[in-house]
Amino acid sequence: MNQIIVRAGWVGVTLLMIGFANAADRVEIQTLDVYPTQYTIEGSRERLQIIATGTTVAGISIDLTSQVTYEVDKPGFVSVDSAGRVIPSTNGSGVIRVHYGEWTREIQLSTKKIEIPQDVSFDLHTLPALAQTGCSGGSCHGSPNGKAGFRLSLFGSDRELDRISLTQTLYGRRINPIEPEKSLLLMKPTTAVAHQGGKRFDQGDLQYKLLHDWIEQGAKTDRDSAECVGIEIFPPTGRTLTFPHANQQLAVVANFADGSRRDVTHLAKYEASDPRIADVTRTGLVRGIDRGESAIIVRYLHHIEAPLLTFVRNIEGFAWTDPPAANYVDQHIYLKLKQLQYLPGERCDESTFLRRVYLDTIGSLPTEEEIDAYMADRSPDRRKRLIDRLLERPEYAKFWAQKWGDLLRVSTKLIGNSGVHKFSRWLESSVASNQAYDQFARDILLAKGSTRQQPAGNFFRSAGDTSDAMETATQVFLGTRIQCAKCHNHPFERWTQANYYGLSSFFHRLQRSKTHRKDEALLWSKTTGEVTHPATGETTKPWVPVAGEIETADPDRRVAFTNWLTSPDNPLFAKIEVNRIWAQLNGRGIVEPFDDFRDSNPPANGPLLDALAKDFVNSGYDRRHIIRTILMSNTYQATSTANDFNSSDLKYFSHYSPRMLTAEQLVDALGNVTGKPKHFFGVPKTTKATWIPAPDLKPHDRGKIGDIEFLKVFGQPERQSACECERAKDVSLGQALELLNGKTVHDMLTAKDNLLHLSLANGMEPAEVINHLYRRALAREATKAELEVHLRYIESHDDMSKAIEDTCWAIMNRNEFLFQH
Amino acid sequence: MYFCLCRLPLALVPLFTIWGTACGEDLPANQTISFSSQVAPILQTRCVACHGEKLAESDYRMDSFAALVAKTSSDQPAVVPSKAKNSELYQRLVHQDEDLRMPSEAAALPEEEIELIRRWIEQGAVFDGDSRDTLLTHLLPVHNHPAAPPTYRASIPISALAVFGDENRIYVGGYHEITVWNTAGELLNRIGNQGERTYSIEPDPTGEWLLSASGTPGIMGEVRIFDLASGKMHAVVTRTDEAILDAQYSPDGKRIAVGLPNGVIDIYSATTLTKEATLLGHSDQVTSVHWHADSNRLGTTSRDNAAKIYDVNTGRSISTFAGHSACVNSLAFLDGNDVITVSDDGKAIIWSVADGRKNREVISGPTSLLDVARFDRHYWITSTQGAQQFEIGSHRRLVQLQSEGVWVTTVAKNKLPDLRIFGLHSGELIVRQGEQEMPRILARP
Repeated sequence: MNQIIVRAGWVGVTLLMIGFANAADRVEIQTLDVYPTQYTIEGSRERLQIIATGTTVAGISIDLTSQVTYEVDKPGFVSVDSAGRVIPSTNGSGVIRVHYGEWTREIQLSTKKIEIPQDVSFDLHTLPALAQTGCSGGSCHGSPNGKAGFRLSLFGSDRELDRISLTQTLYGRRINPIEPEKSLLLMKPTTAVAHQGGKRFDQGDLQYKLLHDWIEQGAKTDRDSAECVGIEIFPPTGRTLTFPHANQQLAVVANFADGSRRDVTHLAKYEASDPRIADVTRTGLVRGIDRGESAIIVRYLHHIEAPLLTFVRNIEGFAWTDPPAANYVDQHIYLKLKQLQYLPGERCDESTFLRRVYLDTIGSLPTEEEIDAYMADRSPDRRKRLIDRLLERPEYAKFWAQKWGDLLRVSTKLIGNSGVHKFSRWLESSVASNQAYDQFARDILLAKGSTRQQPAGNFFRSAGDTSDAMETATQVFLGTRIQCAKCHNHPFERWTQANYYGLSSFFHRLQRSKTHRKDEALLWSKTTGEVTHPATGETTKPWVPVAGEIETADPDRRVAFTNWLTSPDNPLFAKIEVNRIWAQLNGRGIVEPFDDFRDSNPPANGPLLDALAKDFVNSGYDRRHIIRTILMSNTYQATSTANDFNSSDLKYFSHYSPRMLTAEQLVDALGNVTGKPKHFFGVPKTTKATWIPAPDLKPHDRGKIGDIEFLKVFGQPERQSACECERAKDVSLGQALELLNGKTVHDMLTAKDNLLHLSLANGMEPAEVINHLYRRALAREATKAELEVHLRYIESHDDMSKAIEDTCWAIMNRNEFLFQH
Repeated sequence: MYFCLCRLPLALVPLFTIWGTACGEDLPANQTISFSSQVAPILQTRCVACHGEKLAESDYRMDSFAALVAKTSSDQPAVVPSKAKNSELYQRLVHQDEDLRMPSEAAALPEEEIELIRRWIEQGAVFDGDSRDTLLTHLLPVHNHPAAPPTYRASIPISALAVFGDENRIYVGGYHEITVWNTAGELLNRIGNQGERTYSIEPDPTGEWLLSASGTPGIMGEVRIFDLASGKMHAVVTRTDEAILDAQYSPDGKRIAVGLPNGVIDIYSATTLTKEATLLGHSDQVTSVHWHADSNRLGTTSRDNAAKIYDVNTGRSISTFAGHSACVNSLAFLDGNDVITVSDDGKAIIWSVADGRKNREVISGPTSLLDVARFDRHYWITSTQGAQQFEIGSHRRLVQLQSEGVWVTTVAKNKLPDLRIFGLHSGELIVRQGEQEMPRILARP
């Protein structure tokens, strides 16, 4: 037999056996495609990854790379293993036939320069191998201080540093030129010598071979003449895989400046963006774990691509019920849910909706009068009418201005007491007047002159220097956490250090002069001033994402930045804001975390995000319109109770996800239930917690446990960073203690003039008191069973007022109260 | 049950080449297992990196017998004599749960090694050394290093260099050996039985003995004394678990200073080889030690970015210089109160022996400075770019040598007036006779 045939898992078994075993588990397909169809392997160390893809009768793509058989027509010139990896042996050209059942496809293959031993390239082999094995990762030797005295640059971003660490430092202690296999660089990662970092590879692995041969060839570090300009992934982004065929081999090709292409599948580094959905092996085999979508972050040198894969599974008993869509939001959500076989939840009941929409729009619970008014409205569009009314209320502006206060770091520590009040009043009026969002951004970013006259200019007081202003502006308006790139290229994204300083140059000329008045600055721009890159010492040109370097006619470069930022062509500006609004209303962003946009963190529903952004731009950046659109969707109005076909979904908005009230909402709600609202330092008594302009109005006093501490315990941010992550969302023991026997709750319950005691004093029956409690706390009547339990408790106690306090306390500790649902 | 070498997996082979015949013989079931020569080498290679002085995972150290058998954080001793099954030391090696099995995040030890440890415990976990507190590295049997290859397949960086004797012989740190050359570039002699790399070579004042600091990076370090006439090893001064970078005789020949990888400097009597003092203060690897001409003061440099001057008689530090921002590589005493240090921060700084105050910066550049040595009225500084000669007193630069990007790792600290020899990372030697540069020598057998 002069053919070489290898099949997955059955190497060495006779052909007859293969045919038999194959037929048993073969999938019926209607097309078979191979990638690539022709290729040239140039150099003995080069490889090729073949991908075989079938389409089933049902139109589903399946990866057959490990199921097909590979037949080489000229034996010996290359070998193909069962996973479709081609290894060249001699120079030649020929055909690889890919067989699957009756199907056959051909790949035209030639091999060149195989007879000359190919040098291991420091740039193209050694550094990628160290990145792929994790050696130069951020938690290992790639950390800024290295590990155990051995430092590498993060993922090989600084070849000179790596060259010195690997070959020069301490007389080249890490490589042994005489007996390469005894090099520390090989003994440690194979754990032949104890290695804190554990085992990174085996002697049989390709990485071992590359590093070994590199040392054997003299550990040369000459710069490789080939410059990689980008990578391509096959299959490209957007492939859908269906369980049980949920594996997909990837192939990665690097393009070089001279036009040449090389397969680098074996040298790229892989990571799944959502490890609950998929994992990926070191050789680029993606394995589906659950339904959903995950980007696979592929890195070679400093190039990153993140193709998105969708995994679907046929769920037994699932039938799409074709629920009606209220608007385009539901259309996009339902399309994704149908594909992933999740069934959307029913619309929630009226009292749930009422409580939910009050908390989301104006931050507080509905009063009993408001409940009655809503329930009395019998019109079919009463939900719409309620939403419209709420969005016109002054509390809506106060509550949403507070959210902006968090992002823009409105605090007395940074901008002083009068700065806080002026800036937050400006934010409130912007929300109240429904100022167009692009104008809002322009007012902030282009503020000039006195910050007393231009309160938006306080942004540049809380972001008090060039890097702070740039980082905050990028975080808030571009949804990008670029801070990492200040010191090194971004570990997960394509942001480079040069990008960081290019962006900084827009804010570098801005000056903040003091005046004779406290809490005031004069903002003005110098006409000159450049940022230098700290590593290269060169002047960086103004640079923005997507568009690259841009010209700046106005010497105040903020103008160029803001023009670009707010241009309708900028795909990021509108998306960030609609996603932030979505996250406020649904508890989770379409991109989550909602201010961390990057290729490696794909949206849970890309088309919906695009549609919302488009609608936002077309509406003239009308924020209220977007809020209304989302609130009106059945997706927002869905029940939080899971059904049999959506309970495992945490990401695709099949049902409403309950979330704990924020610190401010909780304090107001407690006040609402007991009728003893909390008062706060430095603001009128009628000011609710959800309206407080800054978290630090009260001078800090660690010795006292007061009202403000309650807010802190429940996660009120200090406003020290523009990151949404500053608002603590974790449940803590401190919170449980505050609710069980904290001073705030205790004082409210025991106040003699609270609603409980007053009602009893006025002769109200306990049953009625309890029902009022339920309405104020949960926006619904108590059920018969609930009422019975409470009354039994009260009757068994001598002190009725104490028993009522206990009852109220019990209600306030129920999840139904503590959560928005 | 018998074990034979041929059944051992490949992964074990490096271990045998390192520890020689420590546990390579056939082992009859009834033969007594020696802790020092059979168990300690396994623990030293496999465990001590994470359970030693630098890093004691789970607060458990295994770098001496006393530490090994002490109570662990679970309040139980890890070794219960005669009861391997009850000994955590053994249990952890064979644990079913990979997260609990040791070594952590690595393959299990070869069965043969585990069996040795099991049988040692079953036989009563007997300690056969002198002191239970002795570090394992000191318990291991002295063994012969593998022979150097007849010819080298590649050059190795010059990590140690010395010139002395009647014929101006050049002693160079080789691969498992010290090679001896003349200035014409002829290989005269080879002194074997060295660790993988030699980091310092130093004759005693009588010219009878040769002191070397050597080691295998990441595995072991040693200071050995050789008989110069015969080239035979005379004694092992000390051993440790990482390469030792410097060991020096005091000018009066009475003492030996050894700079250790853990930041400690040990002082030995040159005659009895007993330890006389331990100098503390550095927090990372000692890169070099330098005796003052008075044979009492000692200058030291370290990877902790500091340089220190000690009074060896009292064992106290006289001064510390903390003005470098990276690893300090070498030091030289100049006139009077002046001392100079060179560092990876690119600076050569002169400071005061008495109080550690900075006097002046001689060089401040972008690349590492590697070595400094004083010769009569001038001193040489080597760097990643070449070498420079300065005049003492004026600190005027007299000569500049360029090395085309090859690091000049070291300069020989000899007492000859005209002969300067520099070692290069490429394995070459630059020989300067007076102002004349002679053909380079490739110190590679």
